[in-house]
Amino acid sequence: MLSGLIILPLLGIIGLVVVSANHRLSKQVTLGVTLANLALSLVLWGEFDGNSGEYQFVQELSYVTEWQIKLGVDGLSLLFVILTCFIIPCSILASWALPTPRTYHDLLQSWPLIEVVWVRLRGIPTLLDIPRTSHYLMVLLLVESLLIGLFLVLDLLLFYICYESVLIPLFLMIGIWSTSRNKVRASYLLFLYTLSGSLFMLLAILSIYMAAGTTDYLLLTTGEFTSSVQYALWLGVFLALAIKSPIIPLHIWLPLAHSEAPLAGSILLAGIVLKMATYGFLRILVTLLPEASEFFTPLVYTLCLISILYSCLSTLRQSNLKSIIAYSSIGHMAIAILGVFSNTTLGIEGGLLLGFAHGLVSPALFVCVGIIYERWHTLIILYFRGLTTIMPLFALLFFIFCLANMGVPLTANFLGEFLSLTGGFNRNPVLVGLAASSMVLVAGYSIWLYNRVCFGSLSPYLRATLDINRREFYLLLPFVVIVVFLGVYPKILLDSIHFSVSSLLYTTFPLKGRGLSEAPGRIIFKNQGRLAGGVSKEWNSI
Amino acid sequence: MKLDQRSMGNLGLLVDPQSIYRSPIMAGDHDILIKDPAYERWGYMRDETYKHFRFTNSRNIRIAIIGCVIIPVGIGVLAFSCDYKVNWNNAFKKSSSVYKEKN
Repeated sequence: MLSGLIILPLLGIIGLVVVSANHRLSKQVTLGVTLANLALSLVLWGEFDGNSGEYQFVQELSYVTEWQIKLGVDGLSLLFVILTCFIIPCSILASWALPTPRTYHDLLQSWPLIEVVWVRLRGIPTLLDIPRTSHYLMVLLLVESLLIGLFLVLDLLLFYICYESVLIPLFLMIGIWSTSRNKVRASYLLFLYTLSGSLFMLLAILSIYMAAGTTDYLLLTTGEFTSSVQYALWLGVFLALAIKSPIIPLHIWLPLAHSEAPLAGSILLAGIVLKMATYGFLRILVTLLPEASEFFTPLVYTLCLISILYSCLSTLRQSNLKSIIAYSSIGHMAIAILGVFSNTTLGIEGGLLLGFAHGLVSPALFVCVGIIYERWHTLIILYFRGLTTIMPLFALLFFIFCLANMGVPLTANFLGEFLSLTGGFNRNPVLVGLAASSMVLVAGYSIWLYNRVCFGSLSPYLRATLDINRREFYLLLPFVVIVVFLGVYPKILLDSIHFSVSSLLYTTFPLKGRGLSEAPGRIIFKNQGRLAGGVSKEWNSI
Repeated sequence: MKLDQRSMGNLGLLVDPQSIYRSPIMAGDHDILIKDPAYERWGYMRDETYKHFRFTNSRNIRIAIIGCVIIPVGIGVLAFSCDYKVNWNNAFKKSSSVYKEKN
């Protein structure tokens, strides 16, 4: 079942090669494949045993290559797999009105190196003969496959490979299919920033391999590294994940990437890509390097508080609709990271729930902005005023998403923020109290955004047009339903992750110093763990 | 009075949607947004601000030192000093003179 989630989008790519000549059929095939993947993920959720904290549906794909590829899912990864499988078809629906195919020559002028390669390869039949619509859809399917693989693999090196591989289709998506002026700069910033940070994570993973002799996650969790080594490894991995989160001052790539990307790219970036870092924090830093995580938590809290305050203040100053949503994402992810590093069940579950909720609300906001852009082809906020008069249904849905972004009760964002901040408050009430002031700032810019765009008389720069059509309405409706439903009944999601989070916290490692034996929510002993089947792996020195 | 698009925008006159109702957007419909050259220039300026940033400006240096050094260091000192400083065990279970639990 797990391999099916990864292989199905790849089969969709093969199908797209066959039906590439027909644009409408290409889109239908892609949408069908992604909806099938969503159905498969929901079946997985239904079959998942929420009363177990262990990995389930474990598959060993040793017949694929000589290296063992192990896939498995627990509560943490299940959450993000479902989110990925939901967001991808939404991004395809949002991009339904794709631009008509153009030649590649005008696009390649921005890419001198690729133009040289293209000229040399012109005599050879390549995939470039396929119309652009199919290319775009192939890239989306490839991203889905890689993202699902990232959340399912049980190997650190494979995790890194998926982590980096996602950059390539995103780079192409922003650099080729964006219609913005600064698309090349945005794609280079995204790629180089993330790649340079990830090199440190690669160094850390290679060091883990040299020390432990394996990068298998299940084996690594049965042992521990010494303190000094943990600190060094932690810093390397944290740098990579902090860039992806992003945490100020490593956030420079995000506003430009979000605002210059095409709509599907923005949806993917805000919905899933940022959650890769949250997942990495939990999987690698908190689980494998617990002592270092405890030691560096004040540093993380410092950076998160700075990210929250600075991003909220920066959002108030933005002039581009997409940039407002992009900067708001920085603050929300920082609150989630506060919860993840709180060392409490409340905080970690809050961080995960906030990540999931933000992965719904932020793409929805981007879809709303995309609806505006599709009609008036501008994102400068000065042009917009009084949209309620001509697009009342859009204004209603936009209002709900602005409320959710604010963290208003009855939305999942409120629960996620509340739990994250409560978990962090146990640890450092002063800092988290300051972080909670973000609620006021977020309300400030959200209300300002909505008031500016929707209320008042219709802007004289805008000519009236139709309200949202059926496709756009049915695209936004699931987001509203899920966000409100989870805000009222989060148990349906939290039940799946509760045991996984508890087993993550209440595993057994000794922690020295800092009075950590009195740390609330965590009991630490020497690990004598054994794997299923009686294989034991005990190593605590390098 | 000249009633062109620019002057109407300047006066902030209410535009009756019914009087200028347009059919759904077709490819190449360029009249749906009345572009203001000042807004376009302003938007371009905001996008290209990073190209004109200089540290030689005393204001930028002051903001950079406050925002990038003083505030982060202050928050860091606060974070390390307040970490695990509050013991929440039995925090609100002090005996009260006006309320006693029933046995």
